[in-house]
Amino acid sequence: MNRTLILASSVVAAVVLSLLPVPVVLRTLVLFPVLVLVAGWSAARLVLGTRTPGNDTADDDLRFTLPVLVALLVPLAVVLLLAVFGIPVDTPGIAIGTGAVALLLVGAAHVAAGPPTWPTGPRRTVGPLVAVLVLGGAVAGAAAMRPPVVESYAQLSLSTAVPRAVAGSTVTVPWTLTGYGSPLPGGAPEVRVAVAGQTVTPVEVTGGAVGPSTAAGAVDERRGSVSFAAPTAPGLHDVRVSVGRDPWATLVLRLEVIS
Amino acid sequence: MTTSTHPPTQAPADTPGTAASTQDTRPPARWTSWPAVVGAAAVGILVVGLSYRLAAEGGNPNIRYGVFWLGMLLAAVPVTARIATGDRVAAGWGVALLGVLTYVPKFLRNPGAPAYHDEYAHWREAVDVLSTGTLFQPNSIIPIVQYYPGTSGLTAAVQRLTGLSVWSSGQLVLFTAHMLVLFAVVVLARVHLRSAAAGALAAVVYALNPSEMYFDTQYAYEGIAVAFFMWILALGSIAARSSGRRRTAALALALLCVGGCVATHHLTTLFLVLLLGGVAAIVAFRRWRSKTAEGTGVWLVLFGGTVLVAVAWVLFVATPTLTYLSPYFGGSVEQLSGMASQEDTGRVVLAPSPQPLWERGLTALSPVIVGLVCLAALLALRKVLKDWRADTLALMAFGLVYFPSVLFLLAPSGAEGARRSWAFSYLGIALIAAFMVLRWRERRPVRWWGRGWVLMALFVVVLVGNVGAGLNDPYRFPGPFRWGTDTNSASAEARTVGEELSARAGRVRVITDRYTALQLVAYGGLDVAAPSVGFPAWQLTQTPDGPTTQLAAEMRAAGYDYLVVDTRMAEEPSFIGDNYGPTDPLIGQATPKENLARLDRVPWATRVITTEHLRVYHLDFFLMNAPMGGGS
Repeated sequence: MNRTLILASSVVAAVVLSLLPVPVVLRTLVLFPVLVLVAGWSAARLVLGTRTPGNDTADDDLRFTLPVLVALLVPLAVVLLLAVFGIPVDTPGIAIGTGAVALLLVGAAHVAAGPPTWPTGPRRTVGPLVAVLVLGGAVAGAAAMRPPVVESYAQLSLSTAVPRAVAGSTVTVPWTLTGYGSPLPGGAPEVRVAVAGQTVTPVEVTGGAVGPSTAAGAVDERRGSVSFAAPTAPGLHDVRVSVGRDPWATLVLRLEVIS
Repeated sequence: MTTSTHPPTQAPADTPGTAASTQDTRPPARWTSWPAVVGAAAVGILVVGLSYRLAAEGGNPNIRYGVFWLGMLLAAVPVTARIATGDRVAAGWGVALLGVLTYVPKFLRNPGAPAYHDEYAHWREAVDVLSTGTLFQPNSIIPIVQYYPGTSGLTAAVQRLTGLSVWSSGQLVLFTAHMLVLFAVVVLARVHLRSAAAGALAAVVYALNPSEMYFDTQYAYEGIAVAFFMWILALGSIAARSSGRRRTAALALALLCVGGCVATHHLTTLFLVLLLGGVAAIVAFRRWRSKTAEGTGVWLVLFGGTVLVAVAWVLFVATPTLTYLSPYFGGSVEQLSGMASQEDTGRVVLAPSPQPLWERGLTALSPVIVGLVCLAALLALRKVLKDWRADTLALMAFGLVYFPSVLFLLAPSGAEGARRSWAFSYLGIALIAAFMVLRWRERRPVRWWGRGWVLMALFVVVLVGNVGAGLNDPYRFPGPFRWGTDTNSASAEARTVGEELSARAGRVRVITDRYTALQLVAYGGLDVAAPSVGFPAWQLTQTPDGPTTQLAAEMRAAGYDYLVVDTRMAEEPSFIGDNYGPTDPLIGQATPKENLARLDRVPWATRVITTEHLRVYHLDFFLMNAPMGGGS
């Protein structure tokens, strides 16, 4: 009974700790394995019975692999049950659900197969542990061999919705230039406006200083705007706002002018 | 004829020790000692890493393929030789190491983020499940994924319990499933061939299947469902040979695995139903003919339970499944029969690619070797069929499905199904090959050759050939940007454009090419159109005149407000062949530059985001025929 209680207590402790802000390393190496492997070990005992000293080794492969199989089945069963009952698939639901299944299996295994026996021969784990470290190091080394790929590019975007304007009024087009992989050039870019293919002189150009960007992965950004006089003829007009000298850095707008 | 490695049907279940008859009692050679095996594996992994570095830098494909296989063989040959000694404990650890070695190449291919087509879909599904707290999230890369939440649900559970990233959680799940598959084969072969040595040998042969190293190790539902598939068979086989609580518990666990399989992957479930149906029918027939039970009840319950769960799932949860799967079957059979009379349809097996000639040669040789082994097994078994249990024979016979499936590679629709069948049919091949190897080892030594070296040579040929038959070069190796591949067309530009568009407009509906779509859906959560004959969204860039009025009205009604264009589609033809799927009118051609330039002149498109290679247009089809005031 004591051994079963120890297993059950470890499951409860793992559930409680899983609900707290515990470091990822501890969660990954201790709490998660305890939750799923206790369930798996108990399920294996349900199927195979408790191993006794001197017992044959025919089922050794099953004793090692069934707990892992159940460790895969239990979380899947828990999330499906959460979905069936309309409970959110989040940390409390999954942790408590997995813990509950583990406790059920511990209890069932105790009733059906008696108290568990602890694994013996911890010295036999030294070799595999060394192998895991060696192979893990090799995988890390192999992954580190890949040359780092950094794409350096800039992205120009229109900062607001496509503008509409009254004929002859001043139109302002705000833009954002975002740098990825490397900083944007220090100097303010030249901003040009063309309406229906004809270059027009902007009323005002602002090209603020380069600052930090809120975009994920961006190095920096420059926000600016350009103001120009809208055409006097109502209708749809082709407007091109170029920021800098790169041929791609042009916003192509359809300016709807109303009278 | 020697039959000591296979059982008569009346032999007691799970008697240990038959391995002793096939176990090599000599101490292992120095090069197969554990320190040497693990050391060689570690060095081999580093050499594989070097091949990926060479691939990422471009250059001669022969060199990177050569370096890759140098590393893989350096890693895999010693452990295989160690497994082949027949030592039961060594076999267990050896199979575990082989599992690691067959997982590592794909893991190193893209260790930190999705890169394969299906990986983007499943990764996004898991992200959406985690962010919403509910399963069954819509998925615009592979819409059917929504109805099979096994992969995303498991990933979400692991992520919540460990705190790892979504990608790492998925890798943990996949790695676990990958190892479980090999050990299921160990158990299955041990139970059916009644020899621990057979179990490990079958696992080695199964690890040679063409899907093992890259396809079933990608972060997608097949890799997880295959583990359930194998364990259903393994537990069913144990139950069929047991009685009392052991039988009940094994059967119950097998039925739980059926639930896991059904909730994870449709095609695996279909293969499971077909296989269990075949096994149940053959076992029932044997019972009718010879009055031997051989676990008939177990197989019937398992088959019935699987059909029941699968039908209920398709009827009440995953109703679009039949619509999704039907084109693969009807289409591929049609295309295959059409190829008998036409020369230009279907795909060209071993079409021009960077794959070296020697690997292609081994790819062609591999099914021949497997075929010869199967033929030898048929000859050996034909007179003693009645001595074998019916379920064992059924599983072995299932392996023969591999041969017609190779033919389906010739049909474009069938290739997908064929590739997916290998993970299942190779189980039968593994049983047959393990039986033959053990049988061969029991014969008197032949003077002029070492059988071990011959077996090792066959192992190498089938390993290299089968991996070559699997996924194409851009899937296997990293490389410089190459337009028209799911993997090497991915760019940070597309990713950030997707994120920017999502940030400014929300999860809007978008028209784009099939390669950019992966980035936009995965990282921006955008809803990307799937072009088809009925919805030819490719008209925006693949025709000189743009969309028809009808298509424009359909896009407007469906809320497709954005078009994303990667201008590199106009620089070279797609590696795969098309930019918008099979209905693309410009298959094999680059998109004309004029088609893309036209987008800057039409009244209905406004370029709102631009980078060196990508352009995002806001579409307003109300302006389809609006005159441009300035006359542009």
